[in-house]
Amino acid sequence: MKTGLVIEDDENNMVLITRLLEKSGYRTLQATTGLQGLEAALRQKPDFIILDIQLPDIDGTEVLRRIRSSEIGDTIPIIAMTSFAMSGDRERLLKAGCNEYIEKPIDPQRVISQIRSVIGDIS
Amino acid sequence: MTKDCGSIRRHTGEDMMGPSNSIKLRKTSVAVTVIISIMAVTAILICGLWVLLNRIIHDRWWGQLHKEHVILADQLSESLVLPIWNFDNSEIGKILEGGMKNENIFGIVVNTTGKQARMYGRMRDTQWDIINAGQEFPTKGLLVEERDIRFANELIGKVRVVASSKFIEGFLHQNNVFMFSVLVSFELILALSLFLLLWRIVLKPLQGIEAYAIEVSSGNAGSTNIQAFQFQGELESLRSSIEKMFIQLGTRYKELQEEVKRRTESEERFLTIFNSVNDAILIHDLDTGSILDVNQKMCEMYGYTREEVRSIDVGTLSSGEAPYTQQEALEWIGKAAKGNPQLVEWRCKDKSGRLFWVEINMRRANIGGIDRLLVVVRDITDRKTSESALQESEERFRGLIEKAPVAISISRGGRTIYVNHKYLALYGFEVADERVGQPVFDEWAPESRNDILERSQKRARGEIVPSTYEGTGQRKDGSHFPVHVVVETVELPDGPALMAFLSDVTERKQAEKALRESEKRFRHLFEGAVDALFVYDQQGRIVGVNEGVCSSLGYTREELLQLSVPDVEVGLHPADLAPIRDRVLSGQSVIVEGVHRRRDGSTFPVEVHVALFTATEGPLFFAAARDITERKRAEEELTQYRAHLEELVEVRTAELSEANKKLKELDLLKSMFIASMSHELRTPLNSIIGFTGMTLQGMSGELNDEQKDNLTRAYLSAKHLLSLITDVIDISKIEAGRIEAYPEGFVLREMVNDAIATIEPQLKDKGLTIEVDVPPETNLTTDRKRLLQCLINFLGNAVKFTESGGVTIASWKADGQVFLSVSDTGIGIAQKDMHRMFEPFERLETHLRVKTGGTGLGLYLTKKLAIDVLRGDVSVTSLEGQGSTFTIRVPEDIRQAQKASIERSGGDIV
Repeated sequence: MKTGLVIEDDENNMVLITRLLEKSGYRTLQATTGLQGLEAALRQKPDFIILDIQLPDIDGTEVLRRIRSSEIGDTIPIIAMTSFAMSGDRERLLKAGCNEYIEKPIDPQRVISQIRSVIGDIS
Repeated sequence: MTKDCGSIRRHTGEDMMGPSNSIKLRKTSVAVTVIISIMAVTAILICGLWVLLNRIIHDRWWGQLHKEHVILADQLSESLVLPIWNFDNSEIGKILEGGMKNENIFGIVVNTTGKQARMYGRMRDTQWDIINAGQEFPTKGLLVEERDIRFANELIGKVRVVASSKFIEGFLHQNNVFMFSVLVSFELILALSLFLLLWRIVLKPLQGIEAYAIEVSSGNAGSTNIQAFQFQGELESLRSSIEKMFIQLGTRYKELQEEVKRRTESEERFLTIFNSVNDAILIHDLDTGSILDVNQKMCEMYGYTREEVRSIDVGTLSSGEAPYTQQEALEWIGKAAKGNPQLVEWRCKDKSGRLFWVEINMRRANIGGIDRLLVVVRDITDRKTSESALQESEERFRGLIEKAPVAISISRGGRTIYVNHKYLALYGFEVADERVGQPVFDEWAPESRNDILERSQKRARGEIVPSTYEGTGQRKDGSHFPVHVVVETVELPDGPALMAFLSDVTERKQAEKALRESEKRFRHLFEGAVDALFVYDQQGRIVGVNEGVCSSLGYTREELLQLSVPDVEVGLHPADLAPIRDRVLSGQSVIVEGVHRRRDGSTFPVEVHVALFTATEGPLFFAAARDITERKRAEEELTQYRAHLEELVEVRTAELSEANKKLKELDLLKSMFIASMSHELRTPLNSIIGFTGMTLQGMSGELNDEQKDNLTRAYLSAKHLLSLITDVIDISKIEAGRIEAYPEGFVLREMVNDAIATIEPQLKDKGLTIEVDVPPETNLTTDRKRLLQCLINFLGNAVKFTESGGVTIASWKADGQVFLSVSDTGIGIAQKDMHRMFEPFERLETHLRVKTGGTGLGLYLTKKLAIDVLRGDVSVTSLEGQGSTFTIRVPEDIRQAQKASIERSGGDIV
């Protein structure tokens, strides 16, 4: 069973995402700030990370950058999540190093299929 | 002679031996002949003498022998009488013995007669004394002297004295042997001395002459000095005549050698030329025209071997097409054979049947003493083809020069050889012949002819002459006009020539004159102006002033030209001068007030008009300064009156600007509020949508129909609210200028497909068709997401207001712009409502109103996006009840549109 780390400051969204993941057969770890998320990522070494970009302490892109430059950073799949929905966000984030990009409001089934394809989990 | 010399030249070694051997043989035989002849003659003479002498001796000796013999026989016949008579044998023996003492007596025989006949004999060599009677005594060949021995007249016996010439013969024999040896010795000595004599006076000189001759014959005359030999008598004259002859021969030989060498070289050279010349050469018989000989090139050209050529006729070498037939060829040959050289172009055929053009030169020639026809054939196939090209090219260039819009003349040696049409027009000639051949001088007026002469003299000396010259030209009718000429040396096929391009500069001269007059006028104006007029450059240096400046400032003109603007203008800070300068440079005329300082330090206020003045050396500034001391004073009075009024205005203005400031702050606040609300509003909505979506998708267990319907309504309302918020935020962002385009390149067709995918469910629900007329190759660079948003808005509208029929998406390009239109077969729009279509919150009164959703902001936002973000525009056409077409236009590449816009706005700022 693979473990996904969800870094999200909004409680409702956190519940939504974790519930969605658990129903789809993943274990979840939770972090509500960027630094917490960074620490959890480095210590717990999850199989993948779902990362909100708007975080209260450090920006999601910064978290992304730090994870990528850390020891686990090379291969871990990271899925960015944002409600900015601005032109250019997608390119900017993919360039910054995330593997997939999800726009809020999410479509639950679509999100699951996106995650599966990113982490290479066919089942 | 020639041949001999040739062979000598060629076989020097052999011939060095040949003649010398033959001379030696001849010499030997002459000497031997002479010596043997002399020896034979002397031998015969001596032998003859000897025989004569021998005969004399022999005769004398014989005479003496005979005398002695007779005497002895007489003596014996007397002395033997008694002994015989007495039979005294011993006495007889003694007497006989005594008789034998004579050497010449061979024997003595005494025969006695009577009863006691006896024979007594004494023979030399044969020792017998008494020989029996009857015994024959060999007397053959001997001299016999017989005597009767008588005693008293009675014969008592006979005595025979036999004398022999043996002794004489022996003596003579001995004498002969001796004489022979003497003769041989004599002959040997004679031969030797003759040889020596001959050697010395004949052979040796002859050897010298011979060696000399050999040297002469081998061409080395000179190393042997023939005069060193001693000659005598006739030989001396022989020597001198031989020497003369040899000298003559040597000279002649040398000449001949040179002649032979020259002829051999000439012959070789001829053969080399004959075979290596690039033309084919044929030698024909004068009468029959048959080919006698050809050179190597002919074989190459026609592909026949030399042997083959001799068996073919001229017809075989011709193409055969009239007029290049054998008959025609023979006619030409006939003409040439009569002594008229012929030059014809001929179409030939080689062995392989290839046809080619040649030029044939035929002439009669004496070859080896016989008159022949010499035919030289040159392949001119290349020339033929290039001839036409050359002609064409020449015509083209002639045409170019002829039609050139400038007068052109070409001259050589001071005489015109060609002029073009324009030239004729310029100089008033009708035809070129009027000018061609005339001196170049004639085209110049007398005042310019000295210059022209000087130029041509310089050119002749090889000095460099400027290629351009201006002078006065003279037309045919004698009128003068200013001419500008450019002369270039050109290489024409027949040698270098001068090509002159001439132009009438009357207009330019007039313009120059007008300019000078105008300048003079302006100078008057400048100087006579009341205002002080300055001209200064970009560094502020004064480069020109009028008299007004000098009088108002108290400087001399020279002093002013050493000063800069800051030396005079003291009212403005030097830093303030820069913006003024920039404004003037941008083309504006600027009026500033300043303070000028006089030479004595006093100052006065001025109003200065500064304008740009473009001179040939670059932009200059033109400043007109006017003393405004009087005006200032008047102004000051006015100011005092106005001051009170201004105070009031100031208060009001301050109040207004305060209000304005507040308004601006409020506006900013609104934008900030909206921007921050976007996140805050959307976060809970996202949750609502997320959770209801998850539940609706059955992730939290099965729902019954009512639950599903309830949740669907909540879900759709939330989505509607979200899109409303999003639209409002987008609009406010656009209005606040906070949305920028993110350009990316993409294929339009793919984007259209994405848009159709989002609208597909609604299309299916209503059963509408969709038609796409977008060229698959259309690419564009713009903000894909925003363009997609616009297209989805159009499509949403189209689907919303169409109940049956379909939607068509079309695209086309024009003038760097891409047009994208969405047409529907819906309700259409009334003419009166058209202008309100793109206003916010305009929901048209329709019978469908209840059924249609939407924010009322879609088209407004679309227009805002199209204009402010995508830098394009939107438009609509419609027929009520038949359908509408919404079109968006965007630049093909937004980056270029952005750039152009930045430049434009940048210009405005400046």
